[in-house]
Amino acid sequence: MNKILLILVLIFFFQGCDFKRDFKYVKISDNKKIKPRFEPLVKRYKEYWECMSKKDFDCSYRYEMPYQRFLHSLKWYKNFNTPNKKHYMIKLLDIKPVDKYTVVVKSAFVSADNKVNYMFHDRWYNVNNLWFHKMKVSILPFGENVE
Amino acid sequence: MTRIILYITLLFVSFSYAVVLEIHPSKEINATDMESELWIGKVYKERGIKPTKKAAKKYIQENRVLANRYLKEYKVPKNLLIETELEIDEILARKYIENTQKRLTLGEDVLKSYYIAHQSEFVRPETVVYYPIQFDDFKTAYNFYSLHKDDSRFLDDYIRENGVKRYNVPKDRIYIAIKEMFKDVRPKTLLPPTFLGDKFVLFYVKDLLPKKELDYKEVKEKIKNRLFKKEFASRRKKLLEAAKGE
Repeated sequence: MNKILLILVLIFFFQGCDFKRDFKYVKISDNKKIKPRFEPLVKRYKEYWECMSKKDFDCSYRYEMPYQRFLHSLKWYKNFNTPNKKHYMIKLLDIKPVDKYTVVVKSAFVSADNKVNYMFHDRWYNVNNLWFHKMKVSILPFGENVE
Repeated sequence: MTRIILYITLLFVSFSYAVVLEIHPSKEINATDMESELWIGKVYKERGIKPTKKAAKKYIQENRVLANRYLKEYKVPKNLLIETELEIDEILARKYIENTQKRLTLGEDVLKSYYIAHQSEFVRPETVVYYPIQFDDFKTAYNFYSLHKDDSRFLDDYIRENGVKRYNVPKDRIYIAIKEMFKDVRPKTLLPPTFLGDKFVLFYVKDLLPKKELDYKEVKEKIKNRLFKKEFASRRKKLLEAAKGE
C-alpha cells in the first residue's frame, strides 16, 4: 500500500517535468534560430544523429524514410553503416524548406579527434506529421542518392 | 506422298507432345553444363551480355528452387505449354516472387513517404483529348471540314453516333508529323484534313487537360507496383534464404 502511495506521489511530482534528452553529439549552430514549425524536425534530427554517432543503428533506422525501410532491411542498413566513424559531432547549420513536406538540412561533421571537418546536406520529409531522414544508399560522393 | 505422311506424323507428334506435357516440380535442382550453355546463349541473344557459367548455373538452380515452391502452392498457369523447361522455371520463379509480394501489406506511411519523396514524378502533363475522323478521299474530308468546323454540337453527336475512338495524348508525345498542328490548338476545334497512313484524317480536339499534380490516392497503386519492382531482387534473395532454411 505504501509503495503504491509512493509511486502516486512521485507521479504527482514529476508529471509536469519535461525529461529532456541530453544530446552529447548533436549541436545547433549558435546563430541559427529555429522557427517553431521546424521544432519537431530538429527534435527528430537530434535524436537521429545522436543514434548515428553512437552507432546505434537499430535506433537510427527508425528515423529513415518508411519506403526505404521497406526496400532495405535492418541487416543491410547495419552492414552499410558499420564502417562509419563513431562519436563524431554533428552541428545543424541551416534548414532550407523545399516544399510543404520537404527540407534540406545543412550540417557540419566534426570527427571525434577533431581532425576531419566538412559540411553536408541531407533531406528530411514530413510524412503524416512525422519527420523522416532520407537514407544514404550509396557511398558514391556525387549527387544525391537516387531511389 | 512420303512428304504428306511425314507432315502428318510431325503434326501428330507435336500435338501429342503438347497434350501430354505436364509441369512437375524438378527433382534435380542442379543445372547441367548444357543447360547453362543454353541459358548463356539465350541471355546473350536477348540482352547482349554473357553471364559466366557459374552465374548461369546458380541462376537456373535458384529458379528451380523457387519454381518448385510455386508448384507446391499454386496451380500451373495455362499459357506455359509453349515455353522451354528453363524458361518455365524462370517464369514460375518470377510468379512465385510476385505472388509473395502481392500478399504483403504496404503501410500507408510506406506509400505516402514514396509519394512525398517523388512528387515531381507524379504529374499529368498537358494532354490533348482528340478524336480522329477518317475519310477515304480528300474531297469528302474537306467538305466535312468546311461544313462542320464551327459546329461543335454536330461534331459531338457525330463522334458519339459513329463510335469514333477517343485519344488522350500528352502534348509532348504527339506523333512528330502532326505535332505542329496541335501547337496552339484550342478545345472544340476541328483541324483541317491531313494525310496519315492511307486515310485523310480530321482531328477533332475535344478538350485540353492542363498539367496537374496527381493526388496521392490516384497514384497509390502505381507506387505499390513501383516499390514491388524495386524490391523484387531482395525479395528473391529472402525467399531463397527461406527455402534453404527448410
